[in-house]
Amino acid sequence: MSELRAHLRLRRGAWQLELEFALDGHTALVGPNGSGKTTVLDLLTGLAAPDQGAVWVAGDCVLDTARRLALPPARRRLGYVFQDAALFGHLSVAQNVGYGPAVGHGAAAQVDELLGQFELTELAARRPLELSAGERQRVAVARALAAEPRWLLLDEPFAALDVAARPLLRARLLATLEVRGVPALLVTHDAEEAFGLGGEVLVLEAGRLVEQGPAERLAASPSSAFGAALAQSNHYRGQVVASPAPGQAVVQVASLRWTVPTPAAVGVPLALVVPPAEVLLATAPPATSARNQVVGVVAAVQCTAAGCRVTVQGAVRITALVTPAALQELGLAVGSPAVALFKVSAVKIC
Amino acid sequence: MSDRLFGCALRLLAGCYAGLVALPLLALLLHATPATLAAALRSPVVWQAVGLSLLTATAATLLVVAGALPLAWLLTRQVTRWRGLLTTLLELPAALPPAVAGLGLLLAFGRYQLLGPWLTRCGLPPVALTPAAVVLAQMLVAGPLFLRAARAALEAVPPRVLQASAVLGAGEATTFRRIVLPLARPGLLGGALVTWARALGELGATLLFAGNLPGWTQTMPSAIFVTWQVDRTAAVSLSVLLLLLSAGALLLARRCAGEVL
Repeated sequence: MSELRAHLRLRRGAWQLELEFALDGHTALVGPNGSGKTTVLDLLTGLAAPDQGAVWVAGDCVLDTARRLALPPARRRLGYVFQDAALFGHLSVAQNVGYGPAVGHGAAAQVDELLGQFELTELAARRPLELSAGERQRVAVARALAAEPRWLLLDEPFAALDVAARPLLRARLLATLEVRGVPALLVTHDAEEAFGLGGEVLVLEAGRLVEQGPAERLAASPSSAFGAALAQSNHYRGQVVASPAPGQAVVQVASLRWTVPTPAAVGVPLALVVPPAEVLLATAPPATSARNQVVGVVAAVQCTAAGCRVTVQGAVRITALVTPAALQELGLAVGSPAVALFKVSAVKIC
Repeated sequence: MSDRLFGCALRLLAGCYAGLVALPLLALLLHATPATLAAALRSPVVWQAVGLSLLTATAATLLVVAGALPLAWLLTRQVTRWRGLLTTLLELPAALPPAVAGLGLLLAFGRYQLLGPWLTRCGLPPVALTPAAVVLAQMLVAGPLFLRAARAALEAVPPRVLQASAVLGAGEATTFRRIVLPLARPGLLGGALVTWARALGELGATLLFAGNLPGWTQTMPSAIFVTWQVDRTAAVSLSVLLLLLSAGALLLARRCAGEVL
């Protein structure tokens, strides 16, 4: 797998993007609307220029503003699948997929193979207007791969697809990338896509990378507000009301007061994340060292292969991830009284 | 105003306007019989005018396309604060009275005017009162129509499609040839046909800058202008011919744009 390394800085009025990363395998780039995800892809491919920055693809420098080096998009050999597919309306499916080889990038011989891999052989003579949204995205992915890119950048490629079509195209894409040895940088809003890619996850908020790590770690223990929302973790906003000990603060969240690990001063607003895996459940307030708790009733129970997510509704809503055996032992069901507890060290400050 | 009254008013005003446009055309067609049309077309003066008009309008259209297409592409691609002003200036001749455009051409290319002495020094013949002057006059008056149509057609090509071509490895020239031109072709062809029709009907600037010399600079509109005094049947026949040619060009332009005929 080739490495994609970049440091980029761009200012547009009051909005600023500043980030640095080095990727060596499949990566999901997630973040709220307006955080700059598409801009990052445009900067990497050369469709937009940063104020300052450099980009290396597989060891080749394709952009370095300090040296006034900026290869045009055509010479960066980065594939880009746009959100709206951006197919060539006057060309057939086969001509769209064969466009890269026709202009000198990629081998024409693999066009038929890609058409087959993405089940487009039957549609080869059709024009993009005659295709469904899913078919158009399949053409866009096949077209990008036919140009033999060193990396494939995808901007929410499955957003326009219906729920049933998404996993099929995703599986087909991942299998093809695996065979071809092409790493992907996938912009997505979808947790399943971000964590299902099986690589790193980058979380971008307001033009900055606020979290980066393996998908498994981020899914289990996110440390940013968006990462938490994506991982269906517990995230809260509160305000420091006291500083009981050095490095600790008492934060008011709704009517509750929790102790959290931060030296923040009184009055400072904080965003907190409590990973479900760090939350314990009890049927009554126990004598324990856990300083923080939510007393309420079970509002929802959802069991999957990964465990059971039990949501307790009290002054706030909190979800715990427990084993089916623990759930059975506690005898918890929807409507049962329950107490959710977590330690000071379980709280992450965003 | 009730919906019924509003509907009636709409139809009445639209009908009046459509009638006003159609009536002179209908009068021309009613005035010309096939026999008078055939007789007029046998006249050498008419044929010379038709030949010169077709030739100069075609030459003017091709030259306009050659120059205005790159200009439209640059105006579409380059974002400068002068774009609005520049576009207005370039489209101004279409809004000017043709006589003003003709006078401007005379003052620019006349033998003793702005470029005249320089052209003479370069060993080039004077432009005024030649078929080249007819082409220049048609270009100046009809060119803005193509520029406007070309800008609309080029701007309609989605930027992401151009970017997709670039990322797939195509340079700017390849993208222009393989993507931009085919996608903009209906609009460009339609614009060229409208420009050709307008060039064919150009009179004011041509009269001032190229004159009205039969067999040399006399186009169909100039021939109608002078023939009307002496041979009304010939003038009407020429007018009907011009009408049919222009209608054909406009219908073809609509067809190119994918509109229903």
